[in-house]
Amino acid sequence: MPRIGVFICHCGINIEKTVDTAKVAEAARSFPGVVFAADYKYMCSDPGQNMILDAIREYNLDRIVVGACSPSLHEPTFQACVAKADLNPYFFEMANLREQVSWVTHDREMATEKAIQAVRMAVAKAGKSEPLASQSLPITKKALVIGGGISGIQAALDIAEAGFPVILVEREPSIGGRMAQLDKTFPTLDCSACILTPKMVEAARNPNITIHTYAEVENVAGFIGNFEVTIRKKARSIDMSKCTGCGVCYEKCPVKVPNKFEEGTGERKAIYVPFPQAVPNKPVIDREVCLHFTKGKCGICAKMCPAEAVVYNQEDEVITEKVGAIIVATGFDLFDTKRYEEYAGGAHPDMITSLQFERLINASGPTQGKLRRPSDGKEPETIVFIQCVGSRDDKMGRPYCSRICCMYTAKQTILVREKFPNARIFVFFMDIRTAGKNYEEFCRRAIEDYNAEYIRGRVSKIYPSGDKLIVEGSDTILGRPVEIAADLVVLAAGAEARADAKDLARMLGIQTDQYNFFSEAHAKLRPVETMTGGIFLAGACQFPRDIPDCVASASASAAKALALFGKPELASLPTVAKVDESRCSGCMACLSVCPYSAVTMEEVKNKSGGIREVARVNPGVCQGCGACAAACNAGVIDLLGYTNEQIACQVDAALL
Amino acid sequence: MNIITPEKTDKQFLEKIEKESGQNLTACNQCGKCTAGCPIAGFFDIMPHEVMRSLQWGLKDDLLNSHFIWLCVNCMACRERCPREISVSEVADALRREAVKEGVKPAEPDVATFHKNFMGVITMNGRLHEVMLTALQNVFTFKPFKDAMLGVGLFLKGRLKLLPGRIKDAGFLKLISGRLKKN
Repeated sequence: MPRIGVFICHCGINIEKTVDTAKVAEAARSFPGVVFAADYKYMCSDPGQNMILDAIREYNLDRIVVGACSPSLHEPTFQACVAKADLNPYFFEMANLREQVSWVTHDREMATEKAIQAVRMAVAKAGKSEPLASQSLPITKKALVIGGGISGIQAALDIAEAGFPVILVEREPSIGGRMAQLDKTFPTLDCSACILTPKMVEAARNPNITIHTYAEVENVAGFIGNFEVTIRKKARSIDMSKCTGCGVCYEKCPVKVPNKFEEGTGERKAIYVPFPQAVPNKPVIDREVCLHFTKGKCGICAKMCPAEAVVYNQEDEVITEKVGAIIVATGFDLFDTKRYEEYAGGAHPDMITSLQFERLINASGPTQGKLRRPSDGKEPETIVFIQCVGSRDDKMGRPYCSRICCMYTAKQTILVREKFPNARIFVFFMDIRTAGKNYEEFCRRAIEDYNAEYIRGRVSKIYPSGDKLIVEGSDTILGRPVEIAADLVVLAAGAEARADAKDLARMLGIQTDQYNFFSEAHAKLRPVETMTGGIFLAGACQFPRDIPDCVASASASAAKALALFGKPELASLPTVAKVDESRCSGCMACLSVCPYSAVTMEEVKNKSGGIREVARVNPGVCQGCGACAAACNAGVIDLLGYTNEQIACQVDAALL
Repeated sequence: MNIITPEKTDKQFLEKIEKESGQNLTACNQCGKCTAGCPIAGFFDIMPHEVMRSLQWGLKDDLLNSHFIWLCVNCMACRERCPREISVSEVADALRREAVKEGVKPAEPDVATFHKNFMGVITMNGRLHEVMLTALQNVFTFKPFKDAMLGVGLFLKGRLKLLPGRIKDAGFLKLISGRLKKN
C-alpha cells in the first residue's frame, strides 16, 4: 500500500477565494492510501516545499499529490522537491485546482466539491505510479540549416564560429535569398548587397560550413540529436570543380527567359548565374528551357566552355547526412497581387510589386537602376504606392499585418525622390506601423524631408485610362474621395508562407499556423523552438520579419542549437509510449496517427520460431502525446506516467 | 465635386503658409489632439486636424473660404498640447491674412469686420478704446444699438471712458501703423 501525502495550495487567494482548501485537505485524509494531508498559502515557496520534505521524512511518504496550479507551471518545481527526498520524480502527481477549478467559477461550494474530486483522482493515479527514468542518448554535434537567405546564413555562421560543422541547403543556385534582391535597406539606407555579400562569402569560406545550393532536403528521419537527413543535389549540368566562373557560357547561350531573381522584370539565359555576386558564382542549366534538353540541339555552352565544365548528362546526387539539430530558415513568398481584380487584375505593365520595384531601382537590376515606366520607358512623374496589398485583408485570407511593408514603402519613396526631385509621390496607407529602432524617425523623414505625400485610406480601384493608371482612393481624415492619375503604381505586396511550407512541416514533423507559417513552441517564452525537439526556426518562415529581426531570430536559433551541442548527452523524455510487444497484433494503427514518426514496424520472433510484425516506439523520438495509446485497438500501448491502468483508476475515482 | 485630385491641389500654397506661419506643416501626423482640445471645435466647419491635412494636400480654396479661419480664437491650446509642436493657431492667422490678401469674401463677415475695426482703433490711438470699437462694430454690422444698454450700465459704474486716450509717443504710433500698412 502506498503512503500518500496530499498538499493543498491556497495560491494566495487565487484558489482559497473560491475553494475551501482546509475542507479539501480534510476530505483527502479519508482517501485510500493517504496518510498525511495539509493546506498552505504558497506550496511552491521554499517554506511550502520544506513542508513537503518534512512530511516525507516524518510520515515516511512515498507518493506526493499537490493540489495547486497547472502542472505546466510548477510540476518541475515539485518534481525537483520530491527528488530531493530521494523519491522518483514520477511519484509526484498534481491536481489543477486553479485554472480548472477556482478560476472558472465563483460558486465556493461547488468549487470545493470539484477540488475534492480532482484531488481524489490524483490520489488514485498516484497510487498506481511507477518509477520512471530518462535514457541517455548521444548527440550528433552537427547542424542542418534549411534555407540560405540572411537568416540561414547568419544561423550557419554562428554555429560554425562556435566550432561545430553546419550543412547549409539552399534550393536556388545561389545563397542570398530575398535580401540579395533588395536595393537599399531601412532605416539606414545602406545597400543590401554591400552588407549581405560579405556574409555570403564568409559562409562560403568558413571551413565548418558545407553549402549545398540547387539542393533540397528530401527526407528527415530520427529525432533530436540524432536526425538523418536526405538531401537531393539537383543536377547543375556543370562540373563545379572544373568551372572557373568565366561566364562565356551564359554570354553565348541563345535562350532567353524571364529571370525569377529579377521578379520577371529582366531576362536570363537557359544557362545562368542568378545575379553577379552569386555564391557559388558558377552557372546552372535550366533543363526545362535549354535547347539541348528540350530539342536535343544547340550545345553552344559546352562548345564554348574553355574548362570543359558543362556536363549535360550529370545526374541528381542524393546524399544523407547525420545531424543533431535542424534550423528551418526557408523565408517567405510574396502575396500574389493578381488576386486583386479591382487593381486592374494586378497585371498592367505600369503596376509593379514592391519587389519588382527593388529590382528596377537597383543598379545591378535589368534597367541598371533607371526607374522608368515599363510600358513606354518614360520617366514617371506621378508615382503611387499602395500599402497593405495582401495584408490586413480578411477577404484575401490575410488578416495579419506583414510588418515589413510600411518601412520598405517609406524607403522606396526616398529612393524615388533621390532619382526624381520633382515627382509627386503618393502613399495610400491604413496605418503606418513603424515599431523598430529609428523606424518612426525614418518614416517621418520620408514624409517631411523627402516629401512623400501620405494619404490615409485604402485604394478601392485602379484602372487604365489613356497612358495613365487611375487610382481611386480616399482620404479618411478629410472623409473625401481621392483620385490620382498615376504613371507608375507600386503595390506593397504582403508576405506569406512559402507555398510548400506545409510539405516541409510534414517532413520535419513540426506544426504550422492557420497561414502555414511554422509555429513556435511558445509565442512568448520559446519563440525560436518548435514543438519538435532539436528543430528551430529562423527568420520569415515563422512570421513576416524584417532583416534585423531575421538576424536576431537566426542567432537565437543558433544559440538553441549550440546549447544542445554543449551537452555531453541527452536525457530522453521518460513519459513516452511503450508497446507491450507480446500482445501487439501488428495492426499499425499507431503508426499512422503518430505525428512524430516515432513508431516503427519491427519483426520479432515468436516462441514457435515464426516471424511476426509488431509496433515499436522509439523513446528518443516520442514526445509523449499519447495518440498511439488512444488509437491502439488492443489497448496494449501505455503512455508511461499515464498508463491505461492509471487513467482507469482516475475515472473510477471521478465516478465515486 | 468633393473629390480630391492632385490637379486641384496647390503645393505652393502649402509652402507659402509654411513660411507665413513659421510652422512645419508636413510634421503633422494627424493624431487629432488639436481638435480634441479645441474649446470651440464644435463651431468649426473644418476641424483643426482637418485644416492641417487640407494644407498638406494644398487645398487652398477650401481653407480660404472656411469659417474656421475666422472662428479660431487663438487660445493656443492646440499649440500648447501638440506633440509635434505645431501651432494651428499661427496657421489660422496666416490663412486669415492670406484670405484678406487674396480678397476672398470672408465666411464670417462680422468677424472680419471686427478685425478691421480693431486694427482701425489701434492704429488711430495706439491703444484700444472699447466704446469706439463697440460703436464701430455695431454700426458696420447694422446693429447700432446692440450694446447700448450695457454701455450705459458700464458708464454709470465708471467702467467706460467716453473719449479715447492716445499713447504719448506719436512718432512710434506712426511707425507701427506705417509698417502695418506695408504688410
